[in-house]
Amino acid sequence: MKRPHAAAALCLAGALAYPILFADPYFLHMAILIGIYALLAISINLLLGYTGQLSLGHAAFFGVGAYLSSLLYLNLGVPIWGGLILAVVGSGVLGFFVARLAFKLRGAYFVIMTIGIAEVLKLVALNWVDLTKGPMGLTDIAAPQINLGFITIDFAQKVPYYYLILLCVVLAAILQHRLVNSTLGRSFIAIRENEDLAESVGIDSFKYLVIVVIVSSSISGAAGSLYAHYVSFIDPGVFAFFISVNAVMMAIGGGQGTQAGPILGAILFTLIPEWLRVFGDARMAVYALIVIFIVIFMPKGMLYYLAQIIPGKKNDGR
Amino acid sequence: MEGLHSKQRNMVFIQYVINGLIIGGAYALIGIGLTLILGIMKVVNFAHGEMYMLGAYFLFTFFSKMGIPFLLSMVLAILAVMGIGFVFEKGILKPLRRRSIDTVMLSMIGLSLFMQNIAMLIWTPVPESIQSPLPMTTYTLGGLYFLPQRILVICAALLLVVLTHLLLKRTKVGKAMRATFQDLEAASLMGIKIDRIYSFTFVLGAGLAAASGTLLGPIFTVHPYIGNLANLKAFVIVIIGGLGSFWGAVAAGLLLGVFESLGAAYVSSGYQDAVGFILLILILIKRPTGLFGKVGQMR
Repeated sequence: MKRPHAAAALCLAGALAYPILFADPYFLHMAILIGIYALLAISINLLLGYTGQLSLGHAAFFGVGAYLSSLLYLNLGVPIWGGLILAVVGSGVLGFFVARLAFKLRGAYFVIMTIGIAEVLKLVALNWVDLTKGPMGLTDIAAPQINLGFITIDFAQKVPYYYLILLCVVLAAILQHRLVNSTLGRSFIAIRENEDLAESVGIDSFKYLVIVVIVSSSISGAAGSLYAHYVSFIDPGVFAFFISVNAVMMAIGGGQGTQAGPILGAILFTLIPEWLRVFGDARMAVYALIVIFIVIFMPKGMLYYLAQIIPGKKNDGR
Repeated sequence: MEGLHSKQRNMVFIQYVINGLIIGGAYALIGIGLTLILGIMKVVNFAHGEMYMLGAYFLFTFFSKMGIPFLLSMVLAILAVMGIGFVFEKGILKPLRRRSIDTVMLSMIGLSLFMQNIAMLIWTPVPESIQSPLPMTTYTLGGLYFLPQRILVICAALLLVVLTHLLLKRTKVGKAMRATFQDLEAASLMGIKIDRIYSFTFVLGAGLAAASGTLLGPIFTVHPYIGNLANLKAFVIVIIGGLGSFWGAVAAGLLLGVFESLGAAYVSSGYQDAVGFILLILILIKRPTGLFGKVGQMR
């Protein structure tokens, strides 16, 4: 086995054993949140890390995924499996339209456009009270169950939900791996490195950017759906700017343009705010300083610095 | 009777337009500040809205808490924010001058998060309201109503727009700023001290945002997160107005104010804050360079 494969297998083994080693509900809870955020970070990484386009509006897809599958469950009784698939499709379709619109622009203007779309959707969630209950939010979003005849797996339990999330993260990581190592992925990187040059060798950058946004937004939609069915309550806060910023920080802090980076970033940036609880009310101010520090002094991401210490290995604990 | 009703409706419509223009005047100030910083310094200043927030909070502290006269408090608040802007420019932006635009942008997002949380520690997250000392009685003119605080907003906004325009057109530093905007290297070769121009631009932009905050603070409530929306609206104004376009920002600010006011009145007040983005999306479909931008100003 190649070294990265061995490292990935090691991580997966660790992640599989995690609930046995850390049965405490708090540790499981953190691990589930890390998994949900890892999906978001992978989704950002595909776009930012491989095509170089920064979106600060991915909360839009996260929120649409969360609301779609919650509303389908609450109003039509669609179980999470159907909801999850429809959340993926729905946010992918939204991604298609957003990309067609927003990629008329690049750079800062594109960033503002993505933020704007998330803000508009937040206002829709706040104001379309008949459908979304507005600021009251949606409650009683049940976790799914599987009846295998002889045994019923209840995903309201943390351990089964942990494995469900783990499965989704692994699938997203495999999707990322396959995509990045395909001709499509090489076109993405060409666009990141030099869009004009990529165009000149026949890469239709607009088309490829739209494709990457569709994939990226679908993954974010899945994260939203999984989040809603885990916490069983959502409000317009799922469209918050902070969620988009956090996901971007995870991709950058972990290592953008690498495959393990976003997962490492999700681990770090979910745990750091928890450790900062010692600062009390000043917690988020300290967190902001850490964000600034990482952006300025560690732009290559933690994975890069970690690889310098132990070549070929990476931290575990998903 | 029919005619009277339609006349009343027209008056109400004009009243909404005027209310929108008043708020739009303050929007224009934030927009000008941001467009100057983005155009001249190439800095995507996500902490711009926080200057607006600090302007409003300093006015609250100076006027409502310390009892300093209202207009003096406004001036002091603006000066204090300009001081903070100076420190940020020298302390954060100057060391990052050679870094990529994305790095600077993300640093400014971190800075904005930092400032919001510091504001929350100082002033608590509970929304505050600044009681304007101006009388609450409305003046009537030709069937239209004007609150003194709102008259102050539009007068001060107009005054600041004109002053900034004169500064850019007539003074040496203004000419240097415009030269830097057009061609950084040529300007620097002509002996313009770029570092000074950058500092001046950032401080001026911060001051304009703070002025906007002191003007709108007594109209809306003040809380640590008002900068978020202010910032997004400022960006909408910059994009609609065209990057680096002074009068574009003024026109887009006024336009945004009017559309928000009409949107709130005739469509739904809940969607008032979405108006800017919807306007932005519609305009960008037709004209990606903004209403007043020229081709080639993009990116």
